[in-house]
Amino acid sequence: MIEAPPALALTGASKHFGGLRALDRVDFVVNQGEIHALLGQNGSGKSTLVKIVTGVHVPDAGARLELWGKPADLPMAAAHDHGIAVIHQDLGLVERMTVVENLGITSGYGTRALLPIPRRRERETCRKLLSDIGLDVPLDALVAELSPAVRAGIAIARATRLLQGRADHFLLILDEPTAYLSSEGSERVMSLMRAVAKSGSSVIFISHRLPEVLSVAHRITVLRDGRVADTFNASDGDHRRIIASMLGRSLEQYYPDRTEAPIARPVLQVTGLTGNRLNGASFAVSPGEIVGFAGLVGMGQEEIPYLIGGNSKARSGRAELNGRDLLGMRLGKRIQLGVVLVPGNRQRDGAWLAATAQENIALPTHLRQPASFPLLLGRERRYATSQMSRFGVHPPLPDRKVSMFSGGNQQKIVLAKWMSMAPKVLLLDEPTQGVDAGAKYEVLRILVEAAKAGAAVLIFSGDYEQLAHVCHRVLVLSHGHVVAELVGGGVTESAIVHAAQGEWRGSALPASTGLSDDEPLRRSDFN
Amino acid sequence: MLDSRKPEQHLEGARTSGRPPLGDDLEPPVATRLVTRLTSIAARIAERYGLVVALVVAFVAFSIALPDIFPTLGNLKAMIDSQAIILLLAIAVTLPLRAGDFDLSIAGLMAASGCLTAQLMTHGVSLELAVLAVLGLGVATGLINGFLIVKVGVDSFVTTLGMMTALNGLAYAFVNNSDITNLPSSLLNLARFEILGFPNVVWIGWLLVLVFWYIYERTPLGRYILFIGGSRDSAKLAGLRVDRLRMGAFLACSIIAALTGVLLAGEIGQMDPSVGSQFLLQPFAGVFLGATTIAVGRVNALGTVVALYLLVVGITGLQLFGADPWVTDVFNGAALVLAVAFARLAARANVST
Repeated sequence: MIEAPPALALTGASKHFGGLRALDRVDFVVNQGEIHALLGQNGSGKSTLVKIVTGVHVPDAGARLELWGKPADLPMAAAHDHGIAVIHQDLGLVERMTVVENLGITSGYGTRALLPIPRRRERETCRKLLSDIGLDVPLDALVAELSPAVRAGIAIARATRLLQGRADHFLLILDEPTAYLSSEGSERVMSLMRAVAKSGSSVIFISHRLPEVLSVAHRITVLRDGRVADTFNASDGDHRRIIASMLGRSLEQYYPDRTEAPIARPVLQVTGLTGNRLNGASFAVSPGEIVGFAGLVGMGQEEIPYLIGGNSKARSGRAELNGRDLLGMRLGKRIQLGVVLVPGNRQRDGAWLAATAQENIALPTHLRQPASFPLLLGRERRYATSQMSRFGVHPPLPDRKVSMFSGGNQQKIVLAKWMSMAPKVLLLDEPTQGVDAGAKYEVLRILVEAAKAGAAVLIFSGDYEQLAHVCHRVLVLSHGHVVAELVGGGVTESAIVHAAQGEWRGSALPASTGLSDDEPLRRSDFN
Repeated sequence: MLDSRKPEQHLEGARTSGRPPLGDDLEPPVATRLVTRLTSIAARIAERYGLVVALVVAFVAFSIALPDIFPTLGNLKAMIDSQAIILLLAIAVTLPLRAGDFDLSIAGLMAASGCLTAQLMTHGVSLELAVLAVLGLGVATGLINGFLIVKVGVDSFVTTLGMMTALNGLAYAFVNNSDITNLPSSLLNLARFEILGFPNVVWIGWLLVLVFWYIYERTPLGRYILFIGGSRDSAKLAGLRVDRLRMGAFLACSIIAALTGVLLAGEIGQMDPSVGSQFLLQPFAGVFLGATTIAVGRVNALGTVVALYLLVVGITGLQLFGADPWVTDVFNGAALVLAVAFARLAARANVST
């Protein structure tokens, strides 16, 4: 049997920007029908590589490119006509338009600009596009009403449509399509990718989420400092191998050391907290303790941080900080008492992107003084600079706009901002979302330090591996209740998954969940 | 291929290999860094003070071209006097604009207030009581704007467009559809009394500029207002009382605009109810053009003065060259559009460096 030529074979690709080398003699091969994960930290050269393939960047002399066995000119021109399309993280859909309207927008609705759109044929085309990747969604639904996973599917369908009729073979490049999705959402997107690959097209998949990379990718290429650090079949590798090649160090160093669980009277006592989905959750957290909250999407745990430290209104229940109920207080008051929320949507809620790092970091220091008090700009600047270097924000330039920093550094700025208040309760919604591996370590290290300094740290996350590595205790929620509490050695990734899934399937938790013997899984007493 | 991704991703890949893996930003060698640093500082200075330089250049150029009529004390005074009312309105409207809301009703409110003052005072009401009445009108307008926009959630552009029209109508009602002349001298003195050669109305504008410069650049309050204008959700979660601040911005803006009406009546000595429409656009042109200088990309007080004076120098110069009066509107309209376009381009250049 003659093996089909690879969909894409790039050899000897280097790229310099001025004196800086972004890519160094990279060889990169993607086979037909393959899902190829492209991994690496920010700055490792992933984007540069993708941009060479799509013709945005011109590589240095000496690179060669073959597409489906035929040599292609570099720099690439008209990637679409060669069958290559990129789907960016933001997807580029128009929210206020329907599915059909979105699907046609990049391919002229199958007609010319001033000619009428062939409505029936257009709907037929769209229906087929969607069913090809196994997506069942009403054609007239507004994109704004759809879940993020379905939106990703529509972006994929739209990209395939763009390529149809222009080329015989397709290569889709998905740039972190799952970064902001729940675990079910990303599962859905992964099955979409599998459907695309099954049809013979190839997929390049960029992601920071290793479990899904390992489950969906056929092959993996890891870049580090502009070079290929490793490339292997997904079945031959694991977490450790990926992280080791991404970071140049091992997984043990990927998470900060776990500290001893403190024994102290709780600082935060929550009883019967009820929101839209949350239905009477009760728990207590001690100073210095790191508690994780897990559960499938929509089970209520994601509401907790916004009820305690945000603008959501609780229907009933109490959340007491040293005996004082927080829920009736206005938010500014809660913040002054040391209850701090780091929201999941950093771009929208967490940071003031248009302002400088200094202005962001100094914000809490103003809340303690009258608003008309003069600013001490010199002192503020020195303070911001020292906070930035203390929390590893790179580069430590206080005058830089927050929007100009990478995701990891933005999150460190948000944390640096709140840490100055020595918070008593720190509520974190997906604190390492959209953050690369190196910065993730630093963000978690900051949280561990905060706990050491006496903060009660509550992490709400779908990244169970991370919860298992840093938390003293993990509470699992289902249908608005705390259904399981994992403590000490019982805090493992598989135990969290089992606890979350078990209740979801409507069955009781299995007796044996693969936990270590010394700490059995406890059904919570709370409900 | 369209590259619509986040700015920091443009930096990806630009890194030397000898660095430890932590941190995720670029760090070029020292010499390159110094050069880029210096050029970026130079670029920033040019960006910050470009409009100031333009003002100086325009002034010098017209002075050379028209040495007998342009650089005279009389012309200088005339130019500054002509901007006094516009400056007051512009400073007022920086508040809601900085907080992310439009207020188109200021000129209408000023006209209505001026007419109310004129009518009351020609009927023997004292200046103090007239000011009090105008203050009431201002507070009412600010509260209505704020309530509809902040509490009900109506778009600020739409709300204040409606309010502007209603207030312009009220101006006619206050004066019974006719001009009022022969205003009492106490009112005239309020606006026209001169200190060091400039009338009160000019000094009040300059004083407001200083006050608002201080608030915007040197107090947390100024930052809060900017914060809610830039990232409203984020500001809410940071514990700021966003609704209250937005309401306050509308209220303060309306109060200043209403009191400007009193000064306007005093300055021109008579009230014509149609006066509002002449003052609608120029304050906005000044604020938007001003946002491209001093504190670049932000609505700010000093930039607003510089922009207004640049506009008046340009217009006066052209008129002294013999241009027709319509030049004023064309010039102001074009300046507004160009200012916004420049701001966009500057933002884009920032992203790609």
